[in-house]
Amino acid sequence: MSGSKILPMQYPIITSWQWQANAFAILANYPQTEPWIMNHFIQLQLTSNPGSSYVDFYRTPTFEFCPWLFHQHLQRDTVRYFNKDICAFFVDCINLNNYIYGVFDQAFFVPGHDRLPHDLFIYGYDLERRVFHAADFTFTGKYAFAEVAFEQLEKAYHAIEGDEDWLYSGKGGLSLISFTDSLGYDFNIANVATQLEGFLAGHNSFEKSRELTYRTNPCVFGLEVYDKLIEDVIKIHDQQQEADYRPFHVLCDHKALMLRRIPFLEEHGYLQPDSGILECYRSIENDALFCRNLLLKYMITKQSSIIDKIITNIRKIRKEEGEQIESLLTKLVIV
Amino acid sequence: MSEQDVTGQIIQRIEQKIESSSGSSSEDAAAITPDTLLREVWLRLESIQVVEFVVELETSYELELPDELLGQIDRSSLKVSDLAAMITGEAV
Repeated sequence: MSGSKILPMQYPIITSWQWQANAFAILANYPQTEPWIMNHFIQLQLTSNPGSSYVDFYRTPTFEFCPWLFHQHLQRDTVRYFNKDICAFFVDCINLNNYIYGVFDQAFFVPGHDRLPHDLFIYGYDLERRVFHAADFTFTGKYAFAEVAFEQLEKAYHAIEGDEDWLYSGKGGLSLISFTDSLGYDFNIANVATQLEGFLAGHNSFEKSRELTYRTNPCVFGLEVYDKLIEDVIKIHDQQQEADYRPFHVLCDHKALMLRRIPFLEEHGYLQPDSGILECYRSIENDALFCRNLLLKYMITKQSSIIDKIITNIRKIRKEEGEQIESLLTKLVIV
Repeated sequence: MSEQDVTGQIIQRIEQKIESSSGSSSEDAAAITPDTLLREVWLRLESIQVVEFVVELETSYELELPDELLGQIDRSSLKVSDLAAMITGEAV
């Protein structure tokens, strides 16, 4: 047996949430997954949780429905029953080409915390140096790859009990994820159009699919996300809600994927080249980044005038994105 | 204060930011000159560091810098020296 193994990982195109970043870090190694990526991550969902809004792509988490990822989910009790040595179990899983995803008390290896239950993605090991290779936001503040000592990871795993294991909205457990090309995927342009129409109408086109996911708090979709974000920004200004830049980071990711989707549609004959939509989406991406950075600036300075700029820009994004999606829908070649 | 002085101060601030950034070495920071493109500087910093840097400059020099610095500047030709010119009021 080799003394080390690192499963394929690339820095992902989207990093707003770790469950998305981890999935994209795997998929980026396999160009054949591109049609599936381009067929998804079109609809946005904002869920109104107490005190904050959670914005993500519909639907999530990717591990559970991506045809390119084989997902095995184990209860912690099951893992514990069969494996007295959790590090040896993880090494065996990696040798079988499984990435490992679970909640760990990262205070054992991230300095400055007494408790830090957070989900970690493990993708390699080195027996000689007794370290795992892992990815998360906790190491540097942005999505990053790092090494964690066996001893620290073992303690971090066993320190998680009960409600702290919040993976998959509280289901908990440990996920083993491997790449599989046994199913494949055919791009479905009609399905893309349906999602775009749903985005415009603020309607989840796949309402029935929600039965496959979890119970959620009230939520809105598509363009209506922007209306809700304006309400949130006003609440932040009025100190009724904590400032949170992450919804705007998701907007940036959404635009980054739209900027990749438009050339994809052109290259595959679903959209005539030089439609002008790509250039307009660059401007929308810029406005999304601008909103995120303005909110960061507000968090530092508390200048009221910044809130007005954010609201103006959200309205601009809503208007321009609505126009561009309408334009895209009229130009799509659906065969 | 001359544009040259301000350029020097800006470079010093950038070097400090880069050195405090995770995964960066002092060699990365040493490569900053007045002709370095701001988009290259931004790439070496975390998002929050870019915003902090802009706020620090605005506070230190008691002015408001253009909003474009907080947007996508990956196709901008602005250089470190241009930022100094904005501060000294010599920008075209």
